[in-house]
Amino acid sequence: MPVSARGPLDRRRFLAASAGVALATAALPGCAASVDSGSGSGGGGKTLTVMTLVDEWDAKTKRSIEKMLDVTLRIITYDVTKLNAMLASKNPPDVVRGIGATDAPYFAARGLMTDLDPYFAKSEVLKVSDLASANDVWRFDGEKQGTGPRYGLAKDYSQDSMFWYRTDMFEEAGLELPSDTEPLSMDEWLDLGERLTRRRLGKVKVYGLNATGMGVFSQLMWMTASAGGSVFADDMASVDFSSPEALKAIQWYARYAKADIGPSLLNPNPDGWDGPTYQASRMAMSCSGFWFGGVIAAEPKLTEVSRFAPAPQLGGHRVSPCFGGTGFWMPKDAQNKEAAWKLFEWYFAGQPAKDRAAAGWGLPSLDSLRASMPKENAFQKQAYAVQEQEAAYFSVLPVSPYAQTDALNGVLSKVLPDAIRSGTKPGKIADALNSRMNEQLARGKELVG
Amino acid sequence: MVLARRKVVYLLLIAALVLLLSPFGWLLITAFKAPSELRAVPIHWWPHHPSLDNFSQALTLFDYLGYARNSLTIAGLYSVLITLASAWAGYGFARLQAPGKRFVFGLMLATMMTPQIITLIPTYLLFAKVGLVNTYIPWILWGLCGAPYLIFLFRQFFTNMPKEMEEAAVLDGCGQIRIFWRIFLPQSWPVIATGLILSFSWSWGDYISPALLLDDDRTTLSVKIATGYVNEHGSGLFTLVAAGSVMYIVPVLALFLVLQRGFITSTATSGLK
Amino acid sequence: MSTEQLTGPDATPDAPSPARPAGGEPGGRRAPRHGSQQARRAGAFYVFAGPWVLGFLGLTVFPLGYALWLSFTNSDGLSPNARFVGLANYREVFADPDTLASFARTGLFAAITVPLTIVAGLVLAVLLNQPIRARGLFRTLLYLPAVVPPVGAALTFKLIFDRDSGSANGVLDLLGVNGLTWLGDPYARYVLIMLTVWGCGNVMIISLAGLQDIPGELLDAARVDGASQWQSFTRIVLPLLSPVLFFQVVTQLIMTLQTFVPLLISLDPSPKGVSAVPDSNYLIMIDVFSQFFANGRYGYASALLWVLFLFIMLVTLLVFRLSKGAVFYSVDPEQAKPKTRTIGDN
Repeated sequence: MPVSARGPLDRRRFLAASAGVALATAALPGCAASVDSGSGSGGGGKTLTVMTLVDEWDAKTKRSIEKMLDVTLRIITYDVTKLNAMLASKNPPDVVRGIGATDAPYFAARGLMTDLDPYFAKSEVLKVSDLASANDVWRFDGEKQGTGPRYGLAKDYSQDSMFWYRTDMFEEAGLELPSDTEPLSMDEWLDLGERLTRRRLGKVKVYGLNATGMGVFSQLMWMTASAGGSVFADDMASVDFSSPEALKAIQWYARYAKADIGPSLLNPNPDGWDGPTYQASRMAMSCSGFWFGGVIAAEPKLTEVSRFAPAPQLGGHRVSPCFGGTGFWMPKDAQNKEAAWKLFEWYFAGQPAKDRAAAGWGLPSLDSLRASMPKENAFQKQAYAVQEQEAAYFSVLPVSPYAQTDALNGVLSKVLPDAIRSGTKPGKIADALNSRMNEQLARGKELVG
Repeated sequence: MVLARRKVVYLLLIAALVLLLSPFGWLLITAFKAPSELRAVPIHWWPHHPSLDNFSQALTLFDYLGYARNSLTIAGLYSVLITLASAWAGYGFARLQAPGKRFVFGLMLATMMTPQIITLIPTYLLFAKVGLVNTYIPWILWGLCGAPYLIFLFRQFFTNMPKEMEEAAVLDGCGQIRIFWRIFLPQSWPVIATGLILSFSWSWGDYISPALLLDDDRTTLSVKIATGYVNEHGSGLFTLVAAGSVMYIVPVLALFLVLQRGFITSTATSGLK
Repeated sequence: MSTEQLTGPDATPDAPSPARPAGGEPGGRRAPRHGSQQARRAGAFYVFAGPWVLGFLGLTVFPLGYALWLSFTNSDGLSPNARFVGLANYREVFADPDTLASFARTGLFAAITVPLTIVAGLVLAVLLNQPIRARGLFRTLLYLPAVVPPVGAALTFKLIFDRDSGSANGVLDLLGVNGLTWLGDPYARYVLIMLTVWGCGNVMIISLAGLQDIPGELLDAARVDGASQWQSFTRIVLPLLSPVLFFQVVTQLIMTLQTFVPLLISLDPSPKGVSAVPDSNYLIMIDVFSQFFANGRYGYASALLWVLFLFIMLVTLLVFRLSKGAVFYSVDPEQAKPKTRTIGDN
C-alpha cells in the first residue's frame, strides 16, 4: 500500500531538523530583550518571506532575526502544494526549506532556483572549501545532480543507510554485535533481523529490523549501487530495474517484506518513523542515519544499549549515501535575495549551526563544526568513531530531475505490495516498475525540455 | 403481542444506540488516558489514572482557542452572508418578473446538483494566482452569491406570501429593496434559521477548503485538529487528538441539543422538497 | 434535472397581467404607472438575481472553464515547456488502469454504502415511528453521529481502528484473534464503509419526517381490509415514501462519488498526503487530488476532474430518468406550501 510518499517521509526528514532547531533558537545573541515590537513592525520596511516549519523559530528569535537583518520576517508554513502555487504565480518566498537530495534536481532543472555560487564567492562566512561533501546533493549541472552550481545548503545531514541497534537485544538472542568498521552483507543483515524478531501468537512483538530509512525508492537505489549497478540511466531520463543488480535489490526487498520482521510497504508503521517503536523497546535495528542519535540521547536507558553501525552492502561496491540534506534554497524570483543570503550566513555558519552540531541531530554541514559534535558518553563516542570511518564512503546518488522522488515512491507502493504478496517474479516486477516510471520520466522530460 | 412487539422495538433501538454511540465512548476513554497507556499490551479498556491533562495540553500545544476563533469567524461570516444573499436572490425569483428569469431559474436549479468539490481545486489554482489564498475573501465571495438550495427554499417561502403586503408597500412608494428588507425578510425567519444552521454547521465541519486555501496560522480548527497533534518528531499524539476532538465535537453537539428543533427541521426540509 | 417541469408553472402566478382586476381605479391613470412599474420590476429582478449570476459565472463557470483549458495541456503548473496535447489526457483517463480501477472502486463503494446507509436510516426511522416512549430522546441520540463534523468522525474512527491502541484490535485480542492493520490495505475499505454508514442519521430524520406525513387513516383502512404489517409497509408506506428515498439516493450518490474522507483517515490528512491513502480506499477524488498535488499533473488531473463532473451529471440525469413516473415533484409555487414540520416530539 502507498505509505511511502509524502506524509511519513516528510515527518521523518523534518524530525532531523526540528529538535536541533529548537535548541538553536534559544541561543541567538540576546539582543531581543530591548525589542518589543511585534513581528509586523520590524525595521527596514523590506519583508523577508521564509517558507519553513511552523515552529522553526520562536517569537523572540524572529524578533532578533528582524533586528539583525533589518527586515520584517514573514514565516509561511512549509507545504509543497502552496510552494508550487507560489512558484507558479511568480511570487515565491525568499527562502524555502527543502530536501536537497530529492528537491534540488527537480526545481533546478525547471529554472526555479537561484545559483548561489556568486554569493559564496563574496561571502566572508560561508566558504565552499568548508562545506561538507554532502552539500553536493544541492548541486545540479543542468543534467545531473552532484556537480555544477550550488542551489542550496544543508543545515545538517546523515548517511541514511547506516543503522542503529540494541546491544541488549543482541545479547538476549545470543548474537554477535555488528562490526564498527566492516559493513554487514544485506543477507547477514536480514538474517539478524529474523533472529531478533520476537512474536507472540504469531503477532510481532519486537521488530528485528526496519530496513527502510528514507523511502523504498532510495533504498533500492542504494542497494543497486552497492551491487555495482544503477537504477537510473546515464541521462537520468529512464530507470532500469531489469539489470542484474537492480533485480537483486528487488529480490532482497521482497524477502524482507515477506519475512514480516519490520515495517514495510506491506505493513506500514503507523508512526511514519522508528522513534516511538524504538523507544518502546519494540525494535532491535533501525536503518537511520546519525540524526537518530538525537532520539537516543534523549533517553538515558537507550544511550546504554544503542550502538551505530556502517551501512550494509548488497555487493562489493561500498556506498553510504545521503537521502536528505534538508536545508534552505532561494527561488529564482525571490524579491529579497541579499537579506536571504544574510539569513543563510547566520543560519548555516552562525550560532544556530554550532548548536545544531552540538545537539547531535545530524552531521554539521560545515566541516569546521565537526569538532563540536557530541562525544560525552560511550554511545556518542562510538557513533562518532563509526561515522568518521563511514564518511569515506559517501557519494551522491543522483535522482532524476524529471520526476519527483515521491511520485516514484508512489509507483513502488502501488506495484510492490500486491506483487510481493502474490510472489510475482522479480523480472516481472521490474518490467512493471520500468514501464510506469519511465512513462512519468518521459512526461517530465518533455516538460523540462 | 403488542407488548412483545414493543419490547422488540426497544431492544432494537437500544442495540442501535449502543452501536452508534460506542465510538463516542472510545473517544472519551482515549481522551482521559495517559499517553503511556496507549501502547499497553493488552490494551487498557479504562484509563488507569484518568486525568484532564490531555485537555489542557490539547488547548495549549497549539493555540486551540485562536483556531476556534478562526473557525467561528469563517463560519459566522459565511453563514450570515450566504443566508442573506440567498434570501436576496430568492426574493427576486419569487416576486419579480423579467425576461430571462425562467432561464436563470432553470440554471440555478441545475447547479443545485453541481458538486462543489469539483470546482474547488481549479478555484484554488485561480485564487492562488491572484493572491486570494490565505485570506478569508473566498468565503466572503462564496457567501455573497448565495447557495442554490437556500435560494430555492427562500423562493418557495416568498412565493407563498400574500400579494397584498407587497402591493400596499408599493402604493406607499417603497422600492423593491425596502420591500424585501422591511417586509419579506423579517417574515422568513424559519428559512433564515434553516439557512444559518445548515451553512454554519457545514462550514464549521469543512476541511478541504481551509486545508487548500489557508496557511497554517490562519486555518480552521477542523484542519488543525486533524494535523496539529504531533510531537516534534511528527508522530501522532493520540490522547491529545482525542481530547482535542472531544472539545471540537462537544460544542457542535451542544448547539445541536439546544437548537434541536431547528437542526432536525433543517435536515428534514433538506430532504423533502 | 427536469427544469422545464419545475419552471413551467412559474410564469403564471405573479405575472403583472393586465387581466388582474385593477380595483376601482380608472384605467387611464393606472396604465402608464403600471408599465413603468413593470420595467422597474424587471430592473429589480436583475439586481436581486445579479449576485448569484455573477457568482455562478465567476466561481463555477470560470474555474470549470479553466480546468477544461488545463485538461488539454500537459501543464504541471511549473515547468516552462507546457503545451497543448489535444485529447491525450482524456485518452489516458480511459486507458490508465489505475484510474479505471479507482473509478470501479468508487462505483463499488457507492453501490455498497448508498443502499446500506438508506436501509439503515429507513429501519431506524420505522422503529422510531412505532408507538414508543421517549421517542424524542431516542431520535436525538441516534441522530448524534450525523451531527459530528467529518473531521471529528474521521479522527474518532482513526482512534478506534488504530493498530496498537484501538479498541477494534482490543476486541479481537479478547477473542484470541490477531489484530489487523485496519487503516491499511485491505481492511481500510471496511473502516471507510463503517464510517460512512455511521452518518445514517440524516436519512433517518428525513425518512421519519416522510413517514409522519403519511396519513394515519390510510394505514387504518389497510388494517381494516386485512392487510398485514408488511403488506401495508411495502404497498403503502414505501410508495408514498418514494420521493423522499429517491432524493436521498441521488444526494447520497453524488456525495459518495466525490468523497475524500479516505484522506481524513489516512496517515497524513493534508492535501499533499493523498498518495499515502491505502489502495483499497483510493477513490476517484483521491486520485484527482493525488494527480494535482502529489504528482503535479495539472493537465491530467483536470481531465479527470472533468470526466468525474460529466459522470456525476450523467448519473444524476440517469437516476432522474429512471425514476420518471415513479416520483413526482411538485414545485408549482402555488401548490408548494412551506412545511413547518414538527416531528414526533414527545
